[in-house]
Amino acid sequence: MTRRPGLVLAAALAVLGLCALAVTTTIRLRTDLSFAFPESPSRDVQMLVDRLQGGPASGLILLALSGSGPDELVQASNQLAELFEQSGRFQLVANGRLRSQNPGLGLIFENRYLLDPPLAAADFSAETLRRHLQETLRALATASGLAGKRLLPADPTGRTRQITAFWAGGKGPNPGAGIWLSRDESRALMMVQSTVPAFDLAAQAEVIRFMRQAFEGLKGDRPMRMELTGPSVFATATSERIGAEMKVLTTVSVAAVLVLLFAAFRSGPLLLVLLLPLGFGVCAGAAVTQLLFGYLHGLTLAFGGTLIGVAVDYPVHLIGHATLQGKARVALEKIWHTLRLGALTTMAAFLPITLSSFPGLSQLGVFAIVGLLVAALVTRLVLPAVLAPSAAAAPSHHWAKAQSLAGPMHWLRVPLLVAALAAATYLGLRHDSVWESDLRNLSPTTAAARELDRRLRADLGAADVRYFLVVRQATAEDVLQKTEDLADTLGTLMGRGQITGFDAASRYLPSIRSQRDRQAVLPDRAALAAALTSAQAGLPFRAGLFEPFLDAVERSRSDPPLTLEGFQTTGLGWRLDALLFPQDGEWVGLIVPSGVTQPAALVDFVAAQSDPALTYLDLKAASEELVAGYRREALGWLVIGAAVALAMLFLGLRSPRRVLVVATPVLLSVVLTAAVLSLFGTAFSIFHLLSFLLVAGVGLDYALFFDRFGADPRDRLSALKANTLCAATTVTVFTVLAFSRIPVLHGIGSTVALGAAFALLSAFVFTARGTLAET
Amino acid sequence: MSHRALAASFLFLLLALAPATGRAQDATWNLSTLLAGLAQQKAMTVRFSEERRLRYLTEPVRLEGTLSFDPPDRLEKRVLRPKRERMTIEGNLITIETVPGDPKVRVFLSDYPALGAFVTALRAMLSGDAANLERVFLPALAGTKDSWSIRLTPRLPAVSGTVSEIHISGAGRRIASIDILETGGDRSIIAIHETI
Repeated sequence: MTRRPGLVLAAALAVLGLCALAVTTTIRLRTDLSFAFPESPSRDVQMLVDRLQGGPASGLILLALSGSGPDELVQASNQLAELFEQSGRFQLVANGRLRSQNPGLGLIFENRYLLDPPLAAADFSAETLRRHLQETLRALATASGLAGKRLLPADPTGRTRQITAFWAGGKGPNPGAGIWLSRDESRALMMVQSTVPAFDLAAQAEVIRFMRQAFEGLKGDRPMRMELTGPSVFATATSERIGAEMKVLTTVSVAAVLVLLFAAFRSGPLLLVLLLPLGFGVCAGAAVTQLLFGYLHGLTLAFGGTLIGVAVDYPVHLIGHATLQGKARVALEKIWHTLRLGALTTMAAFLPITLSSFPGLSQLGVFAIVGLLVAALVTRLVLPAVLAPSAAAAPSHHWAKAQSLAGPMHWLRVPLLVAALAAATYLGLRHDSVWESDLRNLSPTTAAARELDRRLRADLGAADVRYFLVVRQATAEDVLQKTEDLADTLGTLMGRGQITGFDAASRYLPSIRSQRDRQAVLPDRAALAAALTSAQAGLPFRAGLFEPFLDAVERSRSDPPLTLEGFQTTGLGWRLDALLFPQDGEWVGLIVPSGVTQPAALVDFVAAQSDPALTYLDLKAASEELVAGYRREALGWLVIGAAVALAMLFLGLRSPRRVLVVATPVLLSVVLTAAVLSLFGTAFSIFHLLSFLLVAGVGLDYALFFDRFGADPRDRLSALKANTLCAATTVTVFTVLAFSRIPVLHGIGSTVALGAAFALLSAFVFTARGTLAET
Repeated sequence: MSHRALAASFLFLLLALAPATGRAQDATWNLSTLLAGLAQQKAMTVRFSEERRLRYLTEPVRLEGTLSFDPPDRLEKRVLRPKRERMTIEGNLITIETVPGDPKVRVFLSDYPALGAFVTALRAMLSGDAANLERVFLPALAGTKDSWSIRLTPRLPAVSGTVSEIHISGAGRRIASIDILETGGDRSIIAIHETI
């Protein structure tokens, strides 16, 4: 008889292991930003999120070398670039190094009379040509001038160089200066893009490790430093930090909880029993979420696991009552009604969230409901079979003593109510400023990493990535034309100093329309030859030297225009990828203004166009709005959830007075926790809201058990012991979590730890008098 | 940057840095003894003038300036007229500064194989390493100790594609002129003047 529970426990653990294995091998876990974003906010934000997640921009890594003189830095940059190229891990390694085999330069040279900057007929006048020739003559007396010698007969006006300078836009590293250095020459800069997909964090981490190793090998004992930044660098650093922190936090909290539970139950196998409801709950939650959504978000798993952490309390309640009253089956019959009501009420609270338009929220709702259901069923059906009758420890006289001390605590009701009223008033008065609106404060990326990113982007002349004008058209050519039309008007904003410049696809690839216009401007061969002859008069250029120039201009007049396909085959495609791309059957172009001093001017500009194909997007404002919308929606669902839970409570308790006795401490603990956190400067995010839900869930169970088992002193002792143990484990685990430096984890930890303590206290205090009166 | 042009620039730069004065030597005089004499380098600066005969132009381009050498491998060419420019080569790095204070152009010797070969060979020459010189060029010595000339014909295809031959003439340990003939027909004649 005594061996049977052991066997059942072993079997149950084996099944749990198999379930966990099945779930972990079949589930598609996603760790991207999608958790935080709804499925269909504005299309523009969705597009940028897509772009930032999987687009080429997200795989780009910016690299800076510093800590040595400029000469040493450029040499190191050169050697590092060679190592990167030889490794075959990168599709792009750009550090400004000039190469004879640069396909991009070939493209620019071939299309020099079709590309931007614009050309005018005056550019081919005798005077202009003469000025260029005189300059060329002086340059032939220098090494750098001599370097361009090969191109001279075909490009005497230096058009190729003019285009590369235009592309660099006067910002960032000097285009002709070789290896990229920051303007103050303190940093050598490089841009790389690996061949692995941006969303494959493990592969990205491997690439970053390779880069660091390559640098360490190169650096020797020099004081040189390498800094990396970019979305994939952030993501891998974050997941490494979370991984490392989670390891420490989990070890510490598991150890603390084990010590606590062992001290209470003095039995090893019992600790395994505690795992069963939660373990099965997590597996079931994950499996059903995967089934319904087609994927499981990493945050749903982590956060959902936390939310149904209340399931650990189920066996504690069961064992707590079993230890005092003998057999587990008897204890289960006794507590089942209460436990079921607690679980159903909590599930009811999660029900509305499943309807949320935010995939993260609805996933959490489904996960929590399924998880709690399965955990409760496991408690009901499996636990009595695995609990050995001998598991019960002798009741300690400490508990009786604690109870006698705690008994008269109902006098605390009034002070608690007053405190809660004050807390609610405080929160009500500050309701506008208690919320966190800045997404970045939720991001686990450190402020130092963000500052580095900003600096390197400035060094490389990368545009601000906050303001965008979005152009949508049926074809890429239409986007380019529209962008060009807008460019002229945007020039007036630059004239007024409201922006300093802008980047757009049409800078690199003019529309076919404007290439045709340019062809119309080019002089015919006879006219150009006449102008050239007059320009050359008195200058020592050999007759016929510039025949290739005459040929090139003549050919450009009738050449087929450069197309997007042509552009993309040259290795320069990456320049356009982030600025012009197809989406949902149409083409999207981004105009990215830089040096924006008056965002309002951009808003006015877009409004003045009154064109539905053009929209303005402030990514920061949009994401703030998104966060606020997310929070508003979550808050709405939570309020509805609370109402549904209250209705469930009515159904279960069938007494308005008892509902009041049970619900009051739950509400109080949430309000008090919120006020205390806010008082200490915490701004609330969606994660705090969900933590409140957990606080309410555990608080409800405490109150229900106190309420149900208040009549009999022995029962009350069991309830007190079980509730205290539940609260102690919850407070322990979440206090450990509160020590995390990752904002979200810290927020959840402090909220739940504080909340669980308040919940136990107020549940005890508010259920005390009524039940005592009945005795 | 065209490696042909850079190669030509550096070739004369390196060659020009032989000592400008010499002393009496042993009776047995050959390439080895000549190189050994040239190899006794100390930090120094000389004036030069250059005449570039480019096939693009009907008349030569003339420029002048100074050349410096700092052992073991730092070389500098300053053009003072007609357009200022400072170019240095140290290790694998070539730095060009056109306007003082403006961003410098930095490129690498290793990106220009022909130039790389010159530099390797000519460093060998300046350090008296005849074996390395003969790996890249076929040297032919003519004249006497007091009035000599070396004709260097490239052996390596990377070099011979750019330069057809180089004439260096001098007296004793002093290099007087360097004449570089490029395959395309361009020619640079550099006269080395006094030490400063």
